[in-house]
Amino acid sequence: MKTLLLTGASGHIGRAVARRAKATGWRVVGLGRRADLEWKLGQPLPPLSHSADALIHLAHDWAEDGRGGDGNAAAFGTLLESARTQAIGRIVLASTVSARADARNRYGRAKFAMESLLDRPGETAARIGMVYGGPPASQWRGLARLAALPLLPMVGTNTRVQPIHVEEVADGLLALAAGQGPTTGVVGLAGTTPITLGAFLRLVARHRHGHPLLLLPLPLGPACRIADLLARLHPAGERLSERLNGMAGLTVLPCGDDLDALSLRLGDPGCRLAEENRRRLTAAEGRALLAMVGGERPGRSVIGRYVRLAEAAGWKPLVLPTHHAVGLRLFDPSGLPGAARHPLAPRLDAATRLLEAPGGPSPLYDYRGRGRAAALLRLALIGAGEALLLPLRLILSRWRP
Amino acid sequence: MTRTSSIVVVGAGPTGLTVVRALAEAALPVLWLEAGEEPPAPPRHTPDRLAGARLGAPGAWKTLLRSDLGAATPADLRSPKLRLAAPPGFTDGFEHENLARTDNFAAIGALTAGGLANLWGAFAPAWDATALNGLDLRGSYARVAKWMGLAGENDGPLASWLGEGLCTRRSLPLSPLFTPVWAGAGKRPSPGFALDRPRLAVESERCDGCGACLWGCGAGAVWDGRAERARLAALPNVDYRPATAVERIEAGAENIHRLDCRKADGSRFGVETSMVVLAAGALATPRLALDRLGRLGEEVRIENNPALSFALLAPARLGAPLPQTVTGLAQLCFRQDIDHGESAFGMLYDAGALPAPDLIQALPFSRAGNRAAIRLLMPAMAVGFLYLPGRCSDNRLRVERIDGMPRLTLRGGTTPDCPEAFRRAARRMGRALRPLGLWLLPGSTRPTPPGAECHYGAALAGIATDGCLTSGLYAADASVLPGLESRHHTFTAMANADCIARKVAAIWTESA
Repeated sequence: MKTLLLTGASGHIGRAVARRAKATGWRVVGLGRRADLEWKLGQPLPPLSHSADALIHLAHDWAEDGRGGDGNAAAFGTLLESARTQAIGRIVLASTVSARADARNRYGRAKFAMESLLDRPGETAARIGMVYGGPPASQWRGLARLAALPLLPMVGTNTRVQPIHVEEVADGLLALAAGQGPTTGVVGLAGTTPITLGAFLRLVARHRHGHPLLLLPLPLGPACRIADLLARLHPAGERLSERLNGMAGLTVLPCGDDLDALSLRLGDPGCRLAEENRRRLTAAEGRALLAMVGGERPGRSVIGRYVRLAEAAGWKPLVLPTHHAVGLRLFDPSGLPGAARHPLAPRLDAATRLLEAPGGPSPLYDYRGRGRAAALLRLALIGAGEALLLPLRLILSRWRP
Repeated sequence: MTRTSSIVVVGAGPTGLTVVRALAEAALPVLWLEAGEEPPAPPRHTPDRLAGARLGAPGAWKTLLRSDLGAATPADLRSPKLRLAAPPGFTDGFEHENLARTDNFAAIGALTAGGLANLWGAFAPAWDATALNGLDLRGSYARVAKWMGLAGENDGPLASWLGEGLCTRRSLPLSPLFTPVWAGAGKRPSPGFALDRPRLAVESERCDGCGACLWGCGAGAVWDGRAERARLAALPNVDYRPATAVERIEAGAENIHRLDCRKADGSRFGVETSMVVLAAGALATPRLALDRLGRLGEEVRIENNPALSFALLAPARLGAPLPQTVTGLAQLCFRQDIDHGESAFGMLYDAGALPAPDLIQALPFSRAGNRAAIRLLMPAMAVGFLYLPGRCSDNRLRVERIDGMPRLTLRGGTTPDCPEAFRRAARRMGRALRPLGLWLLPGSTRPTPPGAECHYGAALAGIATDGCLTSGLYAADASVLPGLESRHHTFTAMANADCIARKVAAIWTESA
């Protein structure tokens, strides 16, 4: 069994690498403060009881050293030296597509500095694109949260990014660690079809949250300058400036050949997100429809039953215009011409049936009674409400998910 | 091929059961073949089964939706009972065994011992006892009524039309919705319209009004033949073989009939006998019979009752709470005279015992509006069915051999005058019910697609006089009724089966 040393094993990519490595027959030794081997960024590799075959370096310290640089390159130098002494055959550095000597952000410059330390055979740097997918963590968590908003004012929506799924990153890094592909220099590990950041965020909204995203583009240049100003005043501004400049300095890295050499075929980000969020999306859809029909927040158990029904029927989750019960009512095709063929129709039927037993008292039945006057008044209100809704529904129910 | 010296009875539904009962009573040897297995045990029962579940009792969803969520899956136009009470795959085996093709016809049957009677509405009206195929059914009606046990009124306004002196049990209690309607019926008569309590094959003493009739009676009050089947199967002269399907009947030498049988495990065997009584159901019996008689590819008429569903509103009940105890079976029935001296027949149900989603889906507003409206209307709502005589249906049945096996092709339809007959009958019915406090909701009438109402029959009407298809081969279920009257035929088919079985017994005893 081959042994893999892994720094940053608890991060977004690190967890995916550890999981995929174990699944493909590696023995994984994590290096870190609460990992298999006690280690801290800046320290040399601790003495190993067994020899190791490869090292993947993912750990990164985001702190600045006060002179516009940081200690990451020096720390990696120390680790690299000790790894070379312990004769570790493959060393893989996780770098970034924005790594350049004159990168606009510190991260890009630091990664470039680290890359330039790798000059022996068996030492490779992987320039990683925009990582998405898997459980939300690091940058992916931020992106997923932004895409969850109904309206997003956003800078750099036209910046072209190269999305790559975290598991694809893990597979690429492991292939390099196993000696596949180029054994020296820099390898691209990023989406081969660049898309704009705006399009990518919309994709995440659709396939992770099940609703469309409205973007309000803000100009990136002025935003960078404001952030640079802020950075001089407050450390929080420094982080913002780092992010925005990273975005502004992004260039497209052609990496089709590299991926071929690693026998990596990247999935379509939309498909991958839809696949891994299918159940979440179905649950969100069920929650919205059950709330709309029942007029109350549905419990977990009835949402679970909705998911069961939807999966048994093979329904793909719908991208609803909104998940809000009142808003969704405007899109309800029930009773209108063509309703039977509307994709919402069978789902509404299922939701209605499930509300027979929502886990508490069913909102479909009234075992208390409210008196004739109240009932008549309510009926009149329902009728008036329906009359008001009708013209809007006639227009909006043409919408197809 | 085994030779048996028993009378072979095919089918353990209501008519098969009646036949075996009559033969066993005459101490004759019976080999009783049934394609299905015993139905699963009845559901767990508590006095507040329906109301309690709707109010959120623990595990309510298993009661109302079934643990496989079968009751929540997208529904077709068939009766809600098939969704709520039928076990998964209840009708699948039947289609596989019997059907080649259907066109505008919902062919419903069950390969389960007891057949569709496992979830029937228990409605048991008699027909005119002396006019059926020239047989006198009076004695048979009385015998079947006695062992089934009918609940109802012997002296109601429709007593002579529903069969006289047959009820031995009191009617089920009326729900608050129907109490004033029934009380007012005597005081405000309408010409050509008569209202009565239905005759139900229900042990009314065992019913506690839990209301979940449509989900399967857990109290064991609704007659389903289960107990009687078990009793007969244990008799020494009855050899009961469940899970044994008869695939084909062939003519053997010297008036011998050869039955090709297949067990549930796929193994096959043959039986030879000189006497067969078919009671496999109104679709399966014509399949076996027409194949045996060599009438392949020939179109015959098969009747069912064109049905119209409708909703009624009792404004006086608006704002009242749903009753905690209720019955989901028909609470009132009526006769509505139509043209040509014929009568339509109707049944009324309390909407409170029906699943609300079926009503919600029928309203024309937005889904949330429908839900809120039905919640308010339900305590004041009744749902009904209006049935026309079978002659208003225009369905055709044909038997063909596919891979050597006889299979049915069914084409559904109604006669051209059927829509107008429905319109007129519904209008008259609406006028008659309004003085009783029930308003027909405009736009609520909906015809049931051909066949979806299940009660098929009369496919062998012109072929099997007195049930005899050919020497030693009898059919004794609804397929040999001469035609369908507007009221349900299950009870009549059973009485007819009793009558035919007695004749078979006499012939058998004589030849022996």
